Amino acid sequence: MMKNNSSFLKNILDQKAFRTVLSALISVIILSIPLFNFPQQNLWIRIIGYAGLYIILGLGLLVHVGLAGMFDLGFAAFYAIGAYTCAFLASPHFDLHLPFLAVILIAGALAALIGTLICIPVLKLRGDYLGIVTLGFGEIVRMLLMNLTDITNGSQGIIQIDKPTIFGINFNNSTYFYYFIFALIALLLFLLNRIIHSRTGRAWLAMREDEDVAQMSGIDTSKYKLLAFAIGAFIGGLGGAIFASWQGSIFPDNFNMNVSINILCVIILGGLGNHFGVILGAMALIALPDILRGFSDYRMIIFGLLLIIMMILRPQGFLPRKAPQFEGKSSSSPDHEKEVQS
Amino acid sequence: MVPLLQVKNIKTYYGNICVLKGITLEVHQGEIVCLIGSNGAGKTTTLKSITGLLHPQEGSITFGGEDITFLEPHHIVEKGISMVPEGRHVFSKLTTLENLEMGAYSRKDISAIQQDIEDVFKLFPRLKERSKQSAGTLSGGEQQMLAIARALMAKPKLLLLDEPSMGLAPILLESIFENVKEINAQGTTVLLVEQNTKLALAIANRGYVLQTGSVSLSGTTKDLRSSEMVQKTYLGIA
Repeated sequence: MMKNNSSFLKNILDQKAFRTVLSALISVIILSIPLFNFPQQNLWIRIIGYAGLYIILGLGLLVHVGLAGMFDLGFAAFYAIGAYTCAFLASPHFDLHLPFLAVILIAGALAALIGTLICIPVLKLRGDYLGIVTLGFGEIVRMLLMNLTDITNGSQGIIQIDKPTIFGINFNNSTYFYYFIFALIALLLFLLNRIIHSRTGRAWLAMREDEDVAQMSGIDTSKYKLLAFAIGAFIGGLGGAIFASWQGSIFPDNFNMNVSINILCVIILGGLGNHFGVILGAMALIALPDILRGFSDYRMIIFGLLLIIMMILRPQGFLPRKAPQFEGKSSSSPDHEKEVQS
Repeated sequence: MVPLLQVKNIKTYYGNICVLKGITLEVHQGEIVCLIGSNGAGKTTTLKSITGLLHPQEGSITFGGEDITFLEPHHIVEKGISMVPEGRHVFSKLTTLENLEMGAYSRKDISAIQQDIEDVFKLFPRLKERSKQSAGTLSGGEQQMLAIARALMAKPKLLLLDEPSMGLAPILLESIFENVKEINAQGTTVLLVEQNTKLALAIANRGYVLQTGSVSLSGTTKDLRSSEMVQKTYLGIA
């Protein structure tokens, strides 16, 4: 019985047409939530928007873990760096009020810079060791936020963070953030898709498959590791800045280890290595517990049960990575040529 | 004549442990040279030092007259040294064809790659039959062929082979060694590390015997075969 279910589910989820229909359907549902009036609409906007934020974070971590094969247990650190950068640059805390687009880019860039720095000493480490280092790093960042009270205001957090204004539009309610988040997701999905099919994407693929052979095939693994860490951290920083300006106030505890683990769970549930799977993963893991809130005390039991069933039926995640199809004739593939020449 | 590869008195360490205690060897254009020796003699470490995976603390390595001692592995690949690591490392989730394309990663002459894929398929017809199959599903012998073919895709001047015989059925062994001879005949110089001393000495021109991190004997394979020490220790004769 379970066998049948499993292959049925597998067949459906692996159909290309089904995937297209599914992604179209999800997009339409997501985009239309703020358009129609229905009870508790604001709650839904917050829930799905928050899941959207986790999609962004998941995409960032996906670059580290899923694409480059670098185990990262401290992703919340980059999220925190992005959020605090935003809070410093756009709040009464230092009395700075930079425009949001500048803030979010600085937040991403700073997270990328720190990500690169943390990556340099661990370039030679592999697998578990990198996990331990990043786990430690995540906690160090949180401790610093907690204890550098002169700068970060400690556990009191930073409040009254500016609401963004982009092109004259003031983000005065969640709907704006909602659309901003999903627009950013669309952009990130597009860019990640390009990277995966580029020379960089193939270098990452080789690295996570077998680092030694990647080196012996002439791939500069140090460079591509740093690049992966920087890109992932950049995306995490963006997520942090959005979070800070949306919430309006941030505290060190928003960035504890649970957050890192949750993001990791999102991408594992979504199917490690597939950037579209992250969407399903975030919806299931972040939105579902809130949607189930109606069942009050039983919701975590139902949620846990769903996760277990899910992992039995589809242990590889909703949408696992497909090995990228290189065009059979490398010489005639235009993408190939363009990438190498650049 | 200036040797293609010249390794001069290199000392390589793993942490504090000195593994290579001053190795000197040279490989000339067009040769097959073998390194033989027992476990722990430093054969693989020598290859890793040449390819830049490890850097010697003393001594120098020159390739085509150029000092490559401290270059990073990907630069050394670009210079024309390609290594087939021990134990059949292939990208197991990629297809045979994708593995070969990955091997050509460092090359700039994209238009020639397709022809080279055809060429390695001529050398290993079995791989052509398996070209769409993922490499993890190939047999051991086929994976070894693929590992060699992938290294060839980088168009090396010098091919380093680390224990190609490891874990292969005897019948495949001979065919792999035939392939190595053919690769050499087509103009690629080969440095072969091998525990199967008999086979190695059969195809190589010259050889070096490594013992606990230094060269204890070297010469033409004919000399080595008639050396009493080699016969006793590695060939099991008398």
